[in-house]
Amino acid sequence: MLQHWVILLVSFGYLSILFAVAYYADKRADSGRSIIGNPYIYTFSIAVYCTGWTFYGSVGRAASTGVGFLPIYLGPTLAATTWWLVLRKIIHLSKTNHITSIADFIASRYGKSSVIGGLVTVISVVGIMPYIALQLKAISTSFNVLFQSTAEKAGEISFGHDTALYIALVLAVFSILFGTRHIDVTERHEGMVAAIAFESIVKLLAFSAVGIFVTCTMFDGPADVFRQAAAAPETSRLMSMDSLPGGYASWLALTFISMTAIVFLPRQFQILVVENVNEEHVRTAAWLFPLYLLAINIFVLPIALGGIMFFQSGSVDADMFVLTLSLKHEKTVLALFVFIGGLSAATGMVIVETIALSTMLCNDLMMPILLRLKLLRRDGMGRVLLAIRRGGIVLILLLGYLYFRLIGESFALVTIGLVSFAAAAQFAPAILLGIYWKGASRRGALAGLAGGFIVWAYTLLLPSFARSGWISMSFVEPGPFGIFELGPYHLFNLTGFEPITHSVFWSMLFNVGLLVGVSLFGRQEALEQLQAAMFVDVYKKRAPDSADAPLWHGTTLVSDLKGLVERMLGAERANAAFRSYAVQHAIELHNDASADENLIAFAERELAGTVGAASARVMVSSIIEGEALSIEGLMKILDETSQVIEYSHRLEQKSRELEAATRELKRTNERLKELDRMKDEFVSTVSHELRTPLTSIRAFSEILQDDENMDPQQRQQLLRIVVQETERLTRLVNQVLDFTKIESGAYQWTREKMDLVAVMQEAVTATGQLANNRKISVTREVLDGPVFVFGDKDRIVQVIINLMSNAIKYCAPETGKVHLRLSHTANEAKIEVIDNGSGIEPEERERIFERFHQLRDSSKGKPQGTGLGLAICKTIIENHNGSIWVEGNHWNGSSFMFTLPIMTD
Amino acid sequence: MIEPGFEGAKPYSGDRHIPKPQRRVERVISLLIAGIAFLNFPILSVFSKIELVFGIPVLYFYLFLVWGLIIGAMALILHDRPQKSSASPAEKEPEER
Repeated sequence: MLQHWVILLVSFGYLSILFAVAYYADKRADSGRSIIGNPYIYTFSIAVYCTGWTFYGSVGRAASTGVGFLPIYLGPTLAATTWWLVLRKIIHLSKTNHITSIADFIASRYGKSSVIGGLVTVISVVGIMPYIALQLKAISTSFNVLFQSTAEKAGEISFGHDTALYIALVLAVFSILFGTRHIDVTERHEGMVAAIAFESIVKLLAFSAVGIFVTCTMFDGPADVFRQAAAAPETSRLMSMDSLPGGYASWLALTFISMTAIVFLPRQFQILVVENVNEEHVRTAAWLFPLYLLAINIFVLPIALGGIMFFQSGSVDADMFVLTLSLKHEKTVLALFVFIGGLSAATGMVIVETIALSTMLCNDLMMPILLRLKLLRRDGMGRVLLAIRRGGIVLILLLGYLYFRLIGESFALVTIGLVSFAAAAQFAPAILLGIYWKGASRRGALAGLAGGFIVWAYTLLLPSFARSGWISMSFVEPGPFGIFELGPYHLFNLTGFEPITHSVFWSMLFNVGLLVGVSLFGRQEALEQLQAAMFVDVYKKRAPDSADAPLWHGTTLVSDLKGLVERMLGAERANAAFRSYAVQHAIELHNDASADENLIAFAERELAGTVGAASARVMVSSIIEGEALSIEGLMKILDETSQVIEYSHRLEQKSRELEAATRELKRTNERLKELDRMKDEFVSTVSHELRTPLTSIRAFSEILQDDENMDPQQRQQLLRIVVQETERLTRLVNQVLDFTKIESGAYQWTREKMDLVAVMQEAVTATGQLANNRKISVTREVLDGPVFVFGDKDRIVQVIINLMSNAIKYCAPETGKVHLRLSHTANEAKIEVIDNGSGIEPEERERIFERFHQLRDSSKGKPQGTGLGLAICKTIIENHNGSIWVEGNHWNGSSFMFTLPIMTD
Repeated sequence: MIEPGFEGAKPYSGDRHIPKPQRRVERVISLLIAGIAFLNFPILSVFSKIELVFGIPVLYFYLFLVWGLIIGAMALILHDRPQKSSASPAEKEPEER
C-alpha cells in the first residue's frame, strides 16, 4: 500500500536524481568533456516533445477517437524528413548569429526588430499557457489518483484542488535551479539537456512497462486485446477513421500543426536549435527521433482498448488509464514507476519550456523596454538578467496554473494541448518563408504574426474562456451579439470543421496572406534587406573578413566596448573572449585605442549570445560615438556599385550588338558596292553591245548613202550585214526587256502541258546552226517515252537554248563537245547540259546566276554576253517550282542542270 | 527548397554524375511527398474498416507499417555515404570565421 510520504519521497527523490544528472553533465562540460556531444543524447532530448500529453493524454484520446492520437506523432515524422534541409539551415543560421530563442531568430531575420521579438514572445507566452496548464493537470491528476487510492483506505483527505499550485511552485523552483543557476547567462544549458535525455528514457521505459503489463498480463498478448475489442461495438468503432471527429480534414490539420510544432514550439526550438552541439547530429536524429515516437505509441491503443473493456461503465477518466489499470491490479510498484514516468514527461516539458520562454521574456521583451527607458546602465547587469529570467519562470508557471484553474476541468488533456500547437504553427510562415524568400519583410511578418495570433485567440482561446464562465457562452453559440457569422467556431459561416481545423485554416490564411501580401506591396529597410540576404544565402560563400565588419561606422574605445561586454557576461568571460579575439587576429588590444569595426561586430555577436540580437544592437549603438548605424550609407554604396555594374553590363551588351550590326552593315555595303559595280558594267556592256551593231549599221549605211555607184552585189552584201546587225540589236533589247518584265512580275505566263523530249528537240534544232558554225558536236540522251511537265513551253525552250548556246560559246571550236541528257525520278525531271569547255571556278558557281554577273576571264578579254541570260533562266525555272545549278564534270567543263516537277494526272 | 545540398554542387554533366548531396535532397523531398500521400485521405479510407490482420486492426497495422517504412527510408537516405564525410565538401558548410 502506498503511503503519502512514499509518493512524495519518490517524487522528490526522482527530481534529485535529475538534478544530479544535470549537475554531473555541467561539471563534465566545464572540464571540456561534454557528455551531450553525440546524436543519441540529442535525439533523446528532442523527445521532450512527448509530454504528459503523450503519457496520459494519448490513451485518453485513443479511448474516444481511435487512431486520432496518431497525427500528433506522424506529423513530426513527416517533418523530420525535411530536417536535413530546413532544420540544418536554421541551426546553421542560429549558430552564426548566436541566436538564443525562436523570438530572437525571427527578430533577427526581420532586421533585428525588437517589436517582432516582443510580439513572438507574447504569442509564445500566451500560446503556451494552455500547454503548461496541461502538464499541471496531468501531474496533479496523477497525484490525486495515487493519493485517492490510498485515501480510500486511510480515510485521509488529499491536497485537493491546490495540488496543482504546489506542483507549479515546485516546478518553478526546479526550473530556476536548472536553467538559471549560473551568473553567466548563456544560451546553452548542457546539464538541462542531459537531464531531459535521461527523462526521455525513463518515460519510454515506464510507458512500455505498463503497455506490456496490460497486453501480456491482463490479456494474452496484443492479438487477444484486439480480438476482444473487435467483438464489442463500443471498442470496435475505434478501429476505423469514423470515430475521429472532423474526419480526414481534422486528420490533415492535426498532421500539419504537429509538423510545425515539432520545430516551432519554443521548447522544441530551444532543444533542436539552440542546444544543438553539432549540425551533423541532425542526420541521426531525423530518423531516430521518429523511431522513438513510434516506440512510445505502440501500446497506446492496446492500453486504451484494455482500459475501456476493463472499466466497463466508463466511470474512470480515460486520461488516467495507465495509472488506474496498474492500481486496480494492486501493482503498486508499477503504478509508482508509471507515475514517475508521467512526472518525467511533464516536468521535462515544463523545465525546457519555462527556460525557453523566460529567456525570450528577458531578451526579447524586457531588455528592449529597459534599454529604451535607459534603466540598464549600471554594473552587474548579469544579475538583473538572472532576476528577470527567474521572475519570468515563476510568472509563466503561475499563468499556466491560472489557465488550469479556469478551464482545466472542462477539457481533456489533448484538447488543451492542441490549442497551443495551433499557436506555435503561427511561427511557421515567418520562419520558413523568411529563410527561403528574401522578399519577406518586417512589416509583412509583423502583420502575419499579429493577424494569425488574433484569429487563433479569437477562435480557440476565447471560446475556452467562455467554457469556464469568464465570458458568456452566448459568445460561442450563436456568436458575439448573436451574430452567427462571427461565432468563433464558425467564422464567416464556415461550418463543417471541428474547432481546431477551423482555427488552423483561418489563422493560417490570415497569417500567410498578410505576410505575403504586405511584403509584396511594401518596401524593406536597409537592415532588413541585409539580414534577409544573410539568412537566405547563408550557405553562399562570403569573402573572408567581410562578415559584419562594415556595419558599424562610428568609433568607440576598446575599454568602453570591453566594459559593456563585461557588464553583461561578467569580467572573466569578457576577458577570455577579447583575449581569444586578439590572438585570432594577431593584434594587441589597448584599452585606450579606438575599436575597429571588426571588434565592434565581434562584441555585438558576443552580446547577442546572451541578450539576443535586437538588444545587443541597441546596447552597442549606445556606446558608439558619431554615426552609429551607417547601414543606409552602406546600402547606398552597394546600390550604386550594383547600378554601375548593371550599366556596364548593359554597355557591354550594347557594344556587342553594335559590333554585330556593323559587321552586318559592312557585308551589305560590300554587296551593294558589288551590285553597283555590276550595274555599271552592265550599262557599259549594254551600251557597248548596242554601239557595236549601231556603229556597223551606221558605217555601212553611210557607205551605201555616199557611194551611189556601188555594184549591186556588194550593195546587197552590205545591206545583209545591216539587217543582221539590226536583228542582233533587237535581240539584245528584247532580252533586256524580257528580264525586267519577268523580274517585275509583269510577264504573262502561258502554261500548258508539254513534252520535255519535244522541247529538247526544238532547242537542239534552234542551236544547230550555231554549233555547226563552231564545229561543235552536240549529242543527246533522251528517254523512250515522253516526259510531261506543266509550264510555259517557249520559256523552257529559251532556257535550254540559253544553256546550250552558252555551252557552245565557251567550248573550243573543233574539239568542243556538248551533251544533252534528260532523266527523271517519280517526282521531277532533270535536264543536264554538259560541256567540255573552260569550266567554272567553284566559288563562281553560286553567283553566276545573279543578274549582271559575268565571268571574267583574263584570257578572253572583255566579258561575252549581257550577263542576263542565266539570271533569266533562274527566274524562269524558279517560277516553275524547279531549281537550277551548275556543277563540274569529268570533262573539266561544266554541267548546267535544272529540274522541273513532273506533271501527274 | 534548394538549400544546403545544392550549394557548391556541380552542374549536371550526365546522369551518372549527379552530385551526391543533390541526390539526397531529391530523395528526401520525394519521401516527404510520398509520406504525405500515404498518410492521408483517400488512401487511409481504404484501410478504415474493422478488420484484423495478424490479429491487429488493419488501419492500425497500416499506419505503423508506413511509419516504420518512412523511418527506415530516412535512415538509409541520410546514412548513405560511401565516401567519408571529408570527401563531400559540398556538405561541409563554411564555418563562421
